[in-house]
Amino acid sequence: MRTLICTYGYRQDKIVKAMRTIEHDELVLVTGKGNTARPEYSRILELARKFDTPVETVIVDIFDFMSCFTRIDEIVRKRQAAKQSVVINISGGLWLLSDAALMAAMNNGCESYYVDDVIKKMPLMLPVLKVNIGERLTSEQKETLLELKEGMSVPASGSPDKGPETRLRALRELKRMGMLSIDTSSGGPRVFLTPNGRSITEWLKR
Amino acid sequence: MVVILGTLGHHPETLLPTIRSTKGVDEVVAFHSDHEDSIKAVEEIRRTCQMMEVAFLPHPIPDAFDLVSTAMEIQKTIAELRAENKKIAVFNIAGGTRIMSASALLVCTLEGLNAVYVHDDSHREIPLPLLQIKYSDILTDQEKLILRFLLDRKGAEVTQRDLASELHLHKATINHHVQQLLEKRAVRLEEKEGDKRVRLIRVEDSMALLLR
Repeated sequence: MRTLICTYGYRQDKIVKAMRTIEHDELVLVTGKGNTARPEYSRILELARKFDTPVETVIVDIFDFMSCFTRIDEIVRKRQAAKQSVVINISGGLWLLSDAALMAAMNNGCESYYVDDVIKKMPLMLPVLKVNIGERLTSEQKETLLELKEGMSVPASGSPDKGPETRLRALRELKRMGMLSIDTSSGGPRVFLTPNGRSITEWLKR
Repeated sequence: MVVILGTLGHHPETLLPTIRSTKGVDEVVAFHSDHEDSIKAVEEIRRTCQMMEVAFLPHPIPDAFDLVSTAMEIQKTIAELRAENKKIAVFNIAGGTRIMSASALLVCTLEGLNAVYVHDDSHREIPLPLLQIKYSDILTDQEKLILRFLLDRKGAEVTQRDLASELHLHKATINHHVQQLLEKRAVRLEEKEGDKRVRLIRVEDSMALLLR
């Protein structure tokens, strides 16, 4: 089973071109409220029906980047958990929706495309490798992030069954990656997640 | 020297929150198209930077509707800034065309940069969950060598045997690296027209972004 997730605004051509050029068994349209009332949307459904392609439409708040990202991320991870492959076409809808889909694709290692008239070679495959964000971190780094409590003192951070050197190394690496900050203003060093570190930890927990 | 980068469209207010919130910013680099309204936005940012005594470098994007060339242009600028030992604090991807913004986000992921977007109504900056490590670290040096070889011979018919002979590596070694590249979806295999026994190794042009 191969799911094609398309961001969708109102232009049917971007979806139709993706349907013609990207192999898929199921179509998921991610779009804003109101776009499903347009005749272009009905034409996409009609075409999908002719090809016996199931369509799921997911309505998102297209002005809220993080909620778009979280929703697309959920769709991807649900399918990946069921051992289905997922392809993402980021060319429809507002830029914010495209960017959210691109980020979900990169974080989950999904095959991704951009489909548009202005591209000579279509569809344009984006350089997204089949590696998700969790696979780019070492197990010590992931463990440290997942077990970290805000304001923990440095020696106590991380898993108790790991040696202090392993924990300190992971903390140093995570700090270098901009995911942690160390505060020494009130006595011993204490560890805090940066906004970026918090977002990635939330992603790992989901 | 602390630099902030941004894609700029018709609305200068998308970049202003980042200029205001970044501590000790010394330079602002804005990528923009040649659209009349974008030029107006550039002038607005220039005036703000002058008032703040911050250097401003507008960077025109030759084709703001070409994703790969825009990403390469942004990547080149980042490489130049890094070569000058400038510290890139953050990349604001909230302005510009869809292609410019997507290119910027792609480059932030590839280069391991902090990225933010700005909420339309609240003008609040939202940090994006990206790892600050180079994306190409996913590939080993040998895998990069093979990718570079394939990209340099764009369109040429290359087999594993060709790779082994040109790169002076054992066939088994090449096979191992090609399998890894296939697993990571960096290359694909294609049957040779007229001879189905021969499998050609193909790479997409956009993979060049991983090697810069």
